[in-house]
Amino acid sequence: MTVPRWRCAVLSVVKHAYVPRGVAAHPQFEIVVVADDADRPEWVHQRNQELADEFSVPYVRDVARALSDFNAQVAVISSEAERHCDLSVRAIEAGLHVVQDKPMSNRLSQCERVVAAVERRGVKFLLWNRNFLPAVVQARDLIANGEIGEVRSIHVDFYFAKDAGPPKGSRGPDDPPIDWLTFQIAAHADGSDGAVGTLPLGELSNEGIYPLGYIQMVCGAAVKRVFARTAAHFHQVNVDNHVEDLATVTLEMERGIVGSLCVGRIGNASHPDIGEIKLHVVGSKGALVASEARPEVGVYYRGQPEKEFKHRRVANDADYLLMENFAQAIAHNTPTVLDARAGWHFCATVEAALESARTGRVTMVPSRPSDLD
Amino acid sequence: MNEPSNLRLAIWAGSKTPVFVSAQQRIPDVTLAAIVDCDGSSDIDTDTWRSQGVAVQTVDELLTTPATPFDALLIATEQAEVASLRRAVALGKHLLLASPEKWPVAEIEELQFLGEKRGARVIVGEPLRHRPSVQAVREAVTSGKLGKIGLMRLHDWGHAPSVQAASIWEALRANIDLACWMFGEKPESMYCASSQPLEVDEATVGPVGALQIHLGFRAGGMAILDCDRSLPSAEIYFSLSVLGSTGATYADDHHNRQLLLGPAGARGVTSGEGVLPIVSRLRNLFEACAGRATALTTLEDLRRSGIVLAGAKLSSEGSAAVRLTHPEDHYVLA
Repeated sequence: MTVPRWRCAVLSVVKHAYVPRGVAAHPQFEIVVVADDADRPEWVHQRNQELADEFSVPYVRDVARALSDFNAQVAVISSEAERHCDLSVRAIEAGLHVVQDKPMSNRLSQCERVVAAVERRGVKFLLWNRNFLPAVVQARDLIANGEIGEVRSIHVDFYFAKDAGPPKGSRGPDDPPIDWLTFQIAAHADGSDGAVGTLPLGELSNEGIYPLGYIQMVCGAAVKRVFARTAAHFHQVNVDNHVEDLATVTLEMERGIVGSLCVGRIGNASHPDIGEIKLHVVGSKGALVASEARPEVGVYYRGQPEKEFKHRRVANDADYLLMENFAQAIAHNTPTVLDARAGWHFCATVEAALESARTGRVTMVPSRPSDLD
Repeated sequence: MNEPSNLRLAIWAGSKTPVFVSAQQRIPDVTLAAIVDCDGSSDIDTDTWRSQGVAVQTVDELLTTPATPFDALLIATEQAEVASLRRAVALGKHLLLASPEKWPVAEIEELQFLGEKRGARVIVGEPLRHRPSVQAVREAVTSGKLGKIGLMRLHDWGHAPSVQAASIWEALRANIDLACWMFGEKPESMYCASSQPLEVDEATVGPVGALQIHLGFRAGGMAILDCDRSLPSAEIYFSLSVLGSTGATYADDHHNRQLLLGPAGARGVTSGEGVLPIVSRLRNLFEACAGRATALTTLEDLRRSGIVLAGAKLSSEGSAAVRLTHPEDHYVLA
């Protein structure tokens, strides 16, 4: 039996190198080129070159040429958030399947372009996610097996215990506000960068896809209405750029399901590991509380660096399972675990939540892309 | 005020009386003088208590029999009539309401007003505030170690037997009290959503199921309270986390589960907080009664949670967010 093998072009990798690494973790996907537009700033080229060197593949400063000359079937995109959709559409129009980093976009109109292109060209789109972490898969399976009956409510806490530069209130009266992009570029060195890009992006926009992805996988219900609160509570960079680092969202979903999200970049000091990430689900016959970090192993030792996680996640096969899902989707024309429409819906939910936070009112979430009505 | 160093206590008994009696025995300077057992439903061994010199009487007997001297009446039942409470206060007896959510704030206010004229204190004990885990969270908040509080997240799940179920709104009021206590104020805005109601028994007051309330405090503070009484068994689950600008605290039953490998398979068993929440509540009631401490829950606290609860009901009925008006101090649709 011949197992198909897909050649992958990485289109910009300024944010998460773990996305192309995750793609390459599956034996059916091979990174063959890294590419970006020639007019990108030098720091972008530098990061792209580093990944190309890591995989011993060429770095091409011409996206169109990379797509035409390297016989790639899959594009892997981890650019600045505001470029995600444009690069995706260019790859899709060239006939490539797409694996795209989160968030899908900072603008719903851009997501609509991707949905339209995917459906016109009949290619597969996967929005990178954490749905195949062991605890999430277990929660999905327990619920699918009927252990708690029909889901009535679902709540997700998604706290990242990372700092993001100086704390709120630390800027002196004569200090200039922190420039978003400059800060994110510098913060990349120690992994404390948030949403890299010219446009500032809050934590709900940047991380909201993950808890929304869990909810979609566990109960399959679309969000219809939201009520939200947001705040720049922890970090000066968020204050200066008017984007949230803490958000809470009430969700009203199909089938009468209610739920909530609590999302925040809560600072290193607020949790011993990456953060408290949990699912609470109540069903008609029972309830489930799951910790996303499990299974894990505790490691403690004298001289342990302060920032080293003391509890290490183990048996994490999420990257492989995600790409296996993508491989199956390509091979058998089945949906991916988070496809373009799901990504569009998450972006629509986040936009509605931000609107609710601004107005103090409950806000409707559109049910489908307007361009496709 | 009559401020006794030794308190002779009468307990108006209810279904949980043995727990209250057990807790009372751990508090110095408090003597059990009488148990009110109006209808024999209090689940206590009356003969045993009589043999130990504790009177077991009806409330009428207690309030009219001079042979049973007592200083304070602890209300540990939902069945107590307010007329009897007024009589007790009018006699100068301190009144300790163990579960204030059962009583309209106006009635408690009236009892307090009467008590002030007769030298009697009327003191309430909000149960959630006395859980050791909640007190540890509160201590972390008030210590300032967590910085400015930004978010409180609460899951309070339980099972409400359909016949004698208290309304889920009563449970939500206690949750609201906790949020207001942590933030030190009423929320400026809120939205209350509910999942589809489960089977509603005719004898049930209010919907049984789940209520979720989303609170917005001044300066960006926020809370989400998830109050659910639809669990199919008598299990409970409680999780409270508070995130501040410089730290966070998590009190979560999920963290406090032991693993039991039994013949039916593996299951988690909660390491509960035992009788300590009730001991704490009674101790605070008694010390407040003796004038040695302030009551942990004041009438103003009850009034505040009552106003917020009314706003939550307005939000739920209107399926819309509500906001606090000033200086009227009530909620209107946003």
